[in-house]
Amino acid sequence: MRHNCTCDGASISTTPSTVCASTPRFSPSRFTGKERDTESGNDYFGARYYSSAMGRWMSPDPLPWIHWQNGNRDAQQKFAAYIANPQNFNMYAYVNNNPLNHTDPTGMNACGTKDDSTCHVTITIKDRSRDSNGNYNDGFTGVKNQGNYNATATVSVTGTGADGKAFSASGTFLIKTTPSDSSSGAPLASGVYSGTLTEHNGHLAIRIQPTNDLPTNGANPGQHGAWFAQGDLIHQAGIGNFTGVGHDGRAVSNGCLVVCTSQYGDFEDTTGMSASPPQRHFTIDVDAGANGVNADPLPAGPPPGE
Amino acid sequence: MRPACFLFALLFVVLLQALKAQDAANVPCDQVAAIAHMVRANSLPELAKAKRNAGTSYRAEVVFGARSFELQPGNKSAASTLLKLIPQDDEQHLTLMTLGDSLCDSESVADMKSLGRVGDRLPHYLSKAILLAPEMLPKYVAYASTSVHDPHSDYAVQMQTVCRAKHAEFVRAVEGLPTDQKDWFVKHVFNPDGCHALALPEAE
Repeated sequence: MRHNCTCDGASISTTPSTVCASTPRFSPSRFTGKERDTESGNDYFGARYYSSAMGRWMSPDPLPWIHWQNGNRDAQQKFAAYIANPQNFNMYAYVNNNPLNHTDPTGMNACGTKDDSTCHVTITIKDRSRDSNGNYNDGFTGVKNQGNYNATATVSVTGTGADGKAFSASGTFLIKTTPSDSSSGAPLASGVYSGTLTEHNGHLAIRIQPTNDLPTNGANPGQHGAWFAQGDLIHQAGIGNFTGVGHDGRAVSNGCLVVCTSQYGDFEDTTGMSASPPQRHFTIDVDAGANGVNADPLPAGPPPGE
Repeated sequence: MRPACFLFALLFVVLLQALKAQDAANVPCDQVAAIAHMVRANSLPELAKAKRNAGTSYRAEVVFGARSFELQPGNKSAASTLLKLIPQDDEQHLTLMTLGDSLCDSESVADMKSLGRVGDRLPHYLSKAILLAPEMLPKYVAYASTSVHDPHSDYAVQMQTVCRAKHAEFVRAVEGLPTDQKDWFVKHVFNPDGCHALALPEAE
């Protein structure tokens, strides 16, 4: 387990996202609100029973992964990827043994392990709320150096499980949408973007599309002053994430959206990026607030570069 | 009738553009696997064998060129081959930026990471290769301003070694840039006099 309920404030639940310190994640009587079999004391999830006492499923996950090895090339690759994750072999485990941060309401695995097209992952980025003095007043104020993160990214996952039942999960994370150095980048403009899975310095990340023509809400020094950016990702903030400046003095963001490092593992889990096979497609809704740095581009369009 | 023809032609062009854009993003999974296989090749024969399955796309050629140079770092021919693959247009530049992307919806994460590693190290390889083939410095220097549009590119940082090792040739290559490009280069990308990078990648 990466952290508990009094730490970073990230939460993942089947209900609209809440700050974990303020809302109990599950009741002592029922694990995730499912019906309890009074004879066995196990919770019924539709596809199988879960033993709250043992913290384990009472029957294996019925995903048909075993048959993938006899399928076509794609199915065989899927099989290879599936068996490469040791946790998948523990078919009695509950959401990768991380029940504080995940729920599996249908009794099937997390969304990322299903067909990508049946899973919809939306990342909504909003400004953090502030009090009248301009100080952040949301549930993340207890996080060390939280002031370096100007926004939150709420991940909302919905989909249909292999059993035909609806699946949902959510979580909220600290994110920085402003370049650490305004001389090297410009903030992404508000809008709805698609995202695709990519690799970044050995970690998984999300590439914001289109790769080469992302609107910014101001002149981008990195693009000859034009109002667009290239190659922006959502990725882990890196070593210097708490200060906003790398250990060698370089900016941690030239325009990328960077997620607080201590929350990145949970961000990967919630989005399905870390699942096997991973979720590969995302919707990114950058929602400008009243005083948001990710403002709309000018209606008249960006001025020419140079 | 004429408006209908016009609309049909317009639709055709739009569809063609859409297909072209799709081609840039989607690569057949067997090709992605073959290209990733080149990254894992431990010898030139193994690399050559993997290349036969990977095809002749720019993506495949770049990975082949990088791995070939990595396997024989002192070979001028391998260095020249790699330097000839320095992007000449936006599409090639985009390809380098997206080497580690999920391109076919079913490649393994391991393959993505392998290919991403090649993309991450390419500026380093090019800086080593140019020392073996300094006659290609104008091409090497010219790409810098485009490369650093990628916020993660350390192309300018890697150029520092080249500038120090081949200073006179390097300065000549900068002087040979068109005036507007040269102005931008020395102001925002690289200081050739002090041999230090101005365009820095994001810190990690």
